[in-house]
Amino acid sequence: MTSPSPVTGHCRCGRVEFALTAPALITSACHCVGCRRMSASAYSLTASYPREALRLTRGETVLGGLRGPFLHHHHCDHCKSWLYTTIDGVPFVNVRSPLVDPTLAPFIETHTAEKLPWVTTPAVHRFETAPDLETFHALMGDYPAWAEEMRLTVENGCSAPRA
Amino acid sequence: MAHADPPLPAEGGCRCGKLRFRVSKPALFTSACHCTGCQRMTGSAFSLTVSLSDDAFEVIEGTPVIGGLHGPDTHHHHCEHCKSWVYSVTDGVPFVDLRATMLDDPSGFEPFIEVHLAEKLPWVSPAAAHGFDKEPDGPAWPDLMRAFAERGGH
Repeated sequence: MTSPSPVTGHCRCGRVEFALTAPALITSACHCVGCRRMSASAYSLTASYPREALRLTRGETVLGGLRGPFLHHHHCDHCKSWLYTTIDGVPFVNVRSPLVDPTLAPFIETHTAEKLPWVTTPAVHRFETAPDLETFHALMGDYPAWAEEMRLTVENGCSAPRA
Repeated sequence: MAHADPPLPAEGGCRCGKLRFRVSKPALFTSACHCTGCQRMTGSAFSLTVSLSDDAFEVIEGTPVIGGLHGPDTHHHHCEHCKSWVYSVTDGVPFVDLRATMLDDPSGFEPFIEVHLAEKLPWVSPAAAHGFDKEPDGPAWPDLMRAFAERGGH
């Protein structure tokens, strides 16, 4: 399996906790300017799960980021950590992967046209903007085998190769 | 690699633009922090910092709110609307630690050192000129700051 279930995560201060009852469908890094500002880092990190796999186990989230109309960024109101994002009509929840599992490396990276020049990730699929839906579904099919290989690599103490 | 200091003054802001700031003097230092606290604050692999003297940084629109640890000594400043983590200040330290990617043009502010590499995500490859498992020892800072100021031979 790519991930034991359920896994749990929490924000910086611990006032919001959640559990995930299914494995990640795909992982990604997004280099867009919006994600750089949301994250205060070079990119955002995402593990996408089936929407119904997410269960809040402590506290509540508040909305931050763009506040809609379709995109809903969920934060802790106390420490302001960005926990996850939901999109109307999309059956996934995009969880910030370091809150869940440090071994979840990004399989794909998006908006590389906006990437900071000094930044690299081990992602094996790159998109100047974002993949179309058909490509995305094909990548989800490829993800579990790659994730297992990556997990074994990092658990054996090897640095992930630069893609 | 030749390094050109970014043009000043430089402006930036949070994701939604309600909190805006101006930087009027060159950076004292740039860094990335890989500690697990920064991983949770960012939802990413590391935080990015541009350390500025406190008279070099000015909020020009909006009023920040406190997030993160809520003290006692470190004060993480966020936008109340979009929750972006814009900057931090620490009691007794005359610096403002601006999150580098809040700048409208963050090019030229890549990290010069990386700290808390002992806690880094296992798949992340360090990119900065100087890396530390934790943080540099106190006596190492003057040399690092001098090396930063002289980087690239400009």
